[in-house]
Amino acid sequence: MTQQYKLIFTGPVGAGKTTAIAAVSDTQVVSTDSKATDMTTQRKDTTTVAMDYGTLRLDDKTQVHLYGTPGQERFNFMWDILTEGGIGLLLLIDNTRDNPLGDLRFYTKAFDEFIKTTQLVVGITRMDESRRFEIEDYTQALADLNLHAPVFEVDAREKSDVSVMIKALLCSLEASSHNG
Amino acid sequence: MPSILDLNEDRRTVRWFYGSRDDEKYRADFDSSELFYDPDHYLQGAYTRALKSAENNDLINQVIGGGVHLFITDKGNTTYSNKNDSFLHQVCFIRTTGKTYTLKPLKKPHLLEQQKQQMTAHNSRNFLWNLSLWSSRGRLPEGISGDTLVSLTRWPNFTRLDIPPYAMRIVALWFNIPTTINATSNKLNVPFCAVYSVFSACYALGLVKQLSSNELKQQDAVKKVSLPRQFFRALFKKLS
Repeated sequence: MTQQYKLIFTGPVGAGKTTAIAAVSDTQVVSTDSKATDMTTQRKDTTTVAMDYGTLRLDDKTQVHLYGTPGQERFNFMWDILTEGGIGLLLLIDNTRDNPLGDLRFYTKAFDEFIKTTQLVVGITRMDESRRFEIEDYTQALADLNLHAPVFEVDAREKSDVSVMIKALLCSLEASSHNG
Repeated sequence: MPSILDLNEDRRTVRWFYGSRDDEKYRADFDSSELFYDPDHYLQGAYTRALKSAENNDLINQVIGGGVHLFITDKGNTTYSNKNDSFLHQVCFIRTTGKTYTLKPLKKPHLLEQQKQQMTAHNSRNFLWNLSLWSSRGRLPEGISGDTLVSLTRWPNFTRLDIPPYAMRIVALWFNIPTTINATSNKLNVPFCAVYSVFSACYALGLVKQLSSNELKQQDAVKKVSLPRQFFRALFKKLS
């Protein structure tokens, strides 16, 4: 019988979700994107309207499904559907956006029930373009929300960076199994 | 009990980062002076002082001595070294006197432009991380006990650091569940030298929060998703 697992990538428009999945996926990413028509055009030409999908094949019987949520809030009805059965959330935040700490607060609140029973890892993208906020600022913002999660500087194009995020998620799940 | 993420870490890599002290030496006497070192008596200490000065004063600082010449620039973000990692790895373990290394600001910045073509640039945090590991080699900073209850204020930024064996698992434990240094080895089934070295490096980066047992809050045991061990191993190996 095939074992199936699910990892969810989320974050605001243009944070790098589609790129991150493509960086680690064994298969070509299925991307349901469309030409951007609203304020999204300020950041990119296309935007994900339903989800992105990639896979990691561990062996003949085990597969990890990588789902990227659409970034626009009007598609947030998809978020609950996509997280069903997931083992963890990889939240990408774009450090060049107007209010990235606000983005962090928004997405952690939107997924708070899912985070409680799984694990959150945060990746901050585009820190090479802006150092307005540092890792410590995001860590403090999480602490203010009573959340405890690894935060890394990430280039979503780099397989090594995305791999670190996923490994940190696994190690955190292992660590939590030592509690109690 | 075998650890679920025991990946038979390459022994050479383990020795490179953590030295070769066997667990028996730790269990024989946790208070042995062999298991402690003073960073100020090593290149690590000189570099740390120079780095702080470069960050606080926004100047180009130099560390010179023992064949090593370092420039710390870009508000402390970048370090140029005239020696490769192999040389630094050897030098880091040499106990020094207070006069081995000279720290001084570079008064003529154009000299760096000339010299750095023959030097290697490093992210300074990664450089300090490595110096700390290579200086520690399985030892704790003096003044820290193996019974110290450890918590971390945040994860090291592992996407921009060299990640030694077992480090992510050790960090994950300390970040989630305050644990004594010595108990960490048994809990995760990882070598003492790894635990002591990772502590020393996290300590050097200012990430450690030492707790007293009174400060240890009883955490709500929220049930997290439980996954088969084999899955952890397979995915971790896939991504390595």
